Amino acid sequence: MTKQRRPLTVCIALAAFLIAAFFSLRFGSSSMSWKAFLGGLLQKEGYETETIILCSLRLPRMLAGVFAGAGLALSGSLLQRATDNALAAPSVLGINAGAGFAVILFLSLFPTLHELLPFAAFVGALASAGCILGVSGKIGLGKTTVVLTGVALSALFQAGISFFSVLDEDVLASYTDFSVGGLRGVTMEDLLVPAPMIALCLLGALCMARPLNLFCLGDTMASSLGVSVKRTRLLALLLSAASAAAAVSFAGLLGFVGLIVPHAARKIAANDARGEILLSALCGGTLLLFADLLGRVLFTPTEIPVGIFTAVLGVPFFLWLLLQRRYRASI
Amino acid sequence: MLRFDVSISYDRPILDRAAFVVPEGCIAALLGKNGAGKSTLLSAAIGLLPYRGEISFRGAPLPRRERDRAKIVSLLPQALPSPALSVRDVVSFGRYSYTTKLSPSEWKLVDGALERLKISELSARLVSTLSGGERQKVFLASLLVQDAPVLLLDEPTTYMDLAFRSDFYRILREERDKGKTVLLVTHDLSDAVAEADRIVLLEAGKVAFDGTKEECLARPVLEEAFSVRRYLADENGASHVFFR
Repeated sequence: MTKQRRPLTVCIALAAFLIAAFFSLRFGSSSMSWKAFLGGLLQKEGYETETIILCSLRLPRMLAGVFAGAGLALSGSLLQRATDNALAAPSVLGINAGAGFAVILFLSLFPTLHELLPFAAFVGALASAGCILGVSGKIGLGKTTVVLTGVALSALFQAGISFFSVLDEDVLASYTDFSVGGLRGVTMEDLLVPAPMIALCLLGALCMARPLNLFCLGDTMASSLGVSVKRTRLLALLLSAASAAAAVSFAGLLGFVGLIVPHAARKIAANDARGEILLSALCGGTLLLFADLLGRVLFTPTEIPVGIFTAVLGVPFFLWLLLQRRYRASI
Repeated sequence: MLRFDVSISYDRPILDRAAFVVPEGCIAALLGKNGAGKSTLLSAAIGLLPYRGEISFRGAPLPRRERDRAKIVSLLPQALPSPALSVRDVVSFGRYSYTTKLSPSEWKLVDGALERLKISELSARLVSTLSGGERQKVFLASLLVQDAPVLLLDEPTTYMDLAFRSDFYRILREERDKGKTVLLVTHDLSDAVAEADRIVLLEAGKVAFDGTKEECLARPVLEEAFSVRRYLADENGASHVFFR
């Protein structure tokens, strides 16, 4: 991305985000006229049904999409920066798998306490990140060590999930909703803790953008230039884990957002960490809002979980990236 | 004066009380076979590796805080990264430990370093698109912009063509004349005795020789250490020592 084209691309990204947010409010399984839409939005008399649809259903859902997308993409961006690995993402390094394992364990132990599942997911994601940091920290918190530890723990958590799935089919049925991921039924109350947490993580990430910028020079060069490599990596991983944990707690295990969005953001921001972090949050929200919108309107009245569409949109993009890499390597 | 007295061990000792000094305003060549611990010593000096003992400059141990340390010690590592960032941006990273936002005078410093290394025309290019030799120039420019009184260079001439190699050593001599302390790790013994004021030889984690170039050449120190022969060539009245 050339410097001349960058502002234009940022404007396009911002416009896409605003359009996605507007569409998310405007369209859904039930259609309404412009007049009814405005009446419902302004909570006018005579538009009580539209008010309920817009303010109690679509608005929380739209905000959930914004924050979940931003949280997961931010997490992926921080992981990719901290490990200098283009394949790092919360779904790859076991943070999502940790949340999934905690949820299925919780469902097996307390099958009726569904309202506490977000808390279990949150704790699971953080515990998984803690395990990654604990194990890799013992051997120097190197970037490859972090990735390998994450991948190994992810496999372990997946095995745990399979084990509990085999043991109890009812648990598996409840777990499937969480594992596919979705924004259906998210309320404002569900966002009370995770949304500010994601916002704080974003703020924290922006504050450490400068040292993160130097991570692409490798540990030796970054350290020589004055970056505290271990401390910066630890902080980035903690923020990444908290951000992903907050997102999966209400949106479930959404794949690919954390993996693909940072790549697009990096391309637009021309590798500048601050721009990449901000654009990751922005584009993550946009992708999730569009994926959710497609899920809601394409097969009305059946609703397809957003997780399916993020994968459908994400896989072709990811393959394209792989092909590009191959192309670059071949010249 | 830059003073080393360090021990580093992993599953085996890498450096065992390796002690030597490099006076200020001096180029010292750090020599040794592969695995002698040369790069490990440099990594310890920038705080990337834990060590026992002390590395001090002007009588004070090097600061623990990375930013403070980077104002004293800078390193040009052996393996150079190729980030997809512009040359000018990467060179500006040299000012990381001094400021959060580069002032116009600091940008002048960056442009000056690019000019000094004769890579101004590469300024907007991505480092990832450069050749190995060009990257070495870029990171050398960053080192100059960092302006630390101690310069550590780990095999800096690996990818350099002969034309730039003489420029590179001229720059090192200029930095030395400004009072900088230069520690140069190299496998090129001929370059080492031609350009360095002092020679430090590491063998099996210990300092086997530490002295001036003249003291080193007075005895068959390098010949015995590297199993090579010394040759003398005269050119226009000047004699050059080289090893084969």
